[in-house]
Amino acid sequence: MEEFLREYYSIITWSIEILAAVTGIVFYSKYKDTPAKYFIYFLIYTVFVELIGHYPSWDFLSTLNERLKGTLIERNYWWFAIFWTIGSTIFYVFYYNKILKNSKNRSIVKYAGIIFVLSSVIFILIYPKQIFIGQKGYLTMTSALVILMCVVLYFIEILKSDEILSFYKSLNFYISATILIWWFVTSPVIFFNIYFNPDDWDFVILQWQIFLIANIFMYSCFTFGLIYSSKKVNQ
Amino acid sequence: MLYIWLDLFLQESKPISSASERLLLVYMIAVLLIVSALVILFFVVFQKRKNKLLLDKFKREQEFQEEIAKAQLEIQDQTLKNVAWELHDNVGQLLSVANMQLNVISKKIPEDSSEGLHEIKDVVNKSLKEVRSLSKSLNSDVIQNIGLVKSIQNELDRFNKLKFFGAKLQLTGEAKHIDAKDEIIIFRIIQEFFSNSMKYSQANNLSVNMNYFDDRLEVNVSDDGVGFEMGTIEKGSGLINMKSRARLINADFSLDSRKNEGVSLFLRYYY
Repeated sequence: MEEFLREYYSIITWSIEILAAVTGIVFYSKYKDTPAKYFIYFLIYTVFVELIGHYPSWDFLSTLNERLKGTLIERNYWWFAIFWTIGSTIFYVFYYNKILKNSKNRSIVKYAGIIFVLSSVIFILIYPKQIFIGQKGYLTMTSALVILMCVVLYFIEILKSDEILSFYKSLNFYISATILIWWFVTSPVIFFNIYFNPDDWDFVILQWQIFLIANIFMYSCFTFGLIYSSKKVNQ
Repeated sequence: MLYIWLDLFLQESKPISSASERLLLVYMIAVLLIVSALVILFFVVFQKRKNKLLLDKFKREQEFQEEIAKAQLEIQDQTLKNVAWELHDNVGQLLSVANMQLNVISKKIPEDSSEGLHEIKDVVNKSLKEVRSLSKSLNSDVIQNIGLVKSIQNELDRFNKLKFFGAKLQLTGEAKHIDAKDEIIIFRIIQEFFSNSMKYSQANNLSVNMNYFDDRLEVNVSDDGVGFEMGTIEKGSGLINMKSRARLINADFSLDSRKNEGVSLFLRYYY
């Protein structure tokens, strides 16, 4: 298991992300008149974030990485803190701001997003070193809160609305359910981050397993949702 | 998302997690997974229930509308019947009396002025016939008695006599028995079309095609009047009545028209 994960962890994560993004591109024409097109852009964005985020392991950048040794950006914690934790939260705030219909809910989401961005900036300014060494508990928790709030508002809005929505044919339902589970499940891991080092292989393997399962679940749900709800969008 | 790159060659020693801590993490994640799954499950169940309720509500509303349409039809029918009785018993009687009196007078007056009297008599006679046939076409009992085809023929004859327009009926297939209530509704739909044609179309010709098939009756009514542009015209009570009546008997109904190309109505009824 350990060998397998060492060898294939990144490649599996990356390929499942690419699968979701490619599915999005294939079905793009069916979604191009809906807010779901932004979600497809986001899936493509994640592929690039993941790709660039792996710079410390790239062989052809070995001289550059040699030079980065000892600097703050020697490791890629900061990259994922900014472009995944903060970036994806901003995206989801933007996305839910588009798909929510109630103007009150929309403004709640908008202000929550603004507060999140401001507080993240303040956090980075006060503890500039934290995001370079992977101590970003605050960012992860606030991001999880904002995203869960978006999802809950979306669910409540659908339940309250008077239209008959076949939710199992709605892409937004799949997105919401999936990110609800992903953020809930992966957030607590951040508190154990101090153990994520080569002296503690048991924990490293555990965390890899958790993230691998969570990611496979998330991106395959996205892929499935994109394919399944494309029929309805076209009607 | 893998957001941490592990530096495998890091030399300094770091804190090590105990087995119980790792178990706590797994436990926490399991609990959160269950909680979020429950939230989603709750949502799905609730949404399904809501959909069902909404559908029920929608169905009830439709049924209610149908009931109203039926009640409206019954009231209308009753009113028409009353008018028909009045025409027949009251106006008809008065005209008969007038006719008789004219007969009496005609014997008393001199020859030279009797020509004018004859004309008056003719007019009175015509009116009497007119009133009787109108009363027949209004009274649904009569329609039931004489049947759909005959009723329509009577109506068309009336138009021909009054010279509203040249009207003709074409019949194919063998007339089948149709439920009496449905028969009246079909007749009323066609009658509504006639009255609209008379009022608005300025048509010269009107034709009715009735095709009896094994399982259905298809009626095609068309005039060659001024017509109207579909969509531009405001839906008056006439058109809505025709539609709701057709729905009552589960018939396919369509009305088609173009400017200056007349209007045509198509009705398909399954017995």
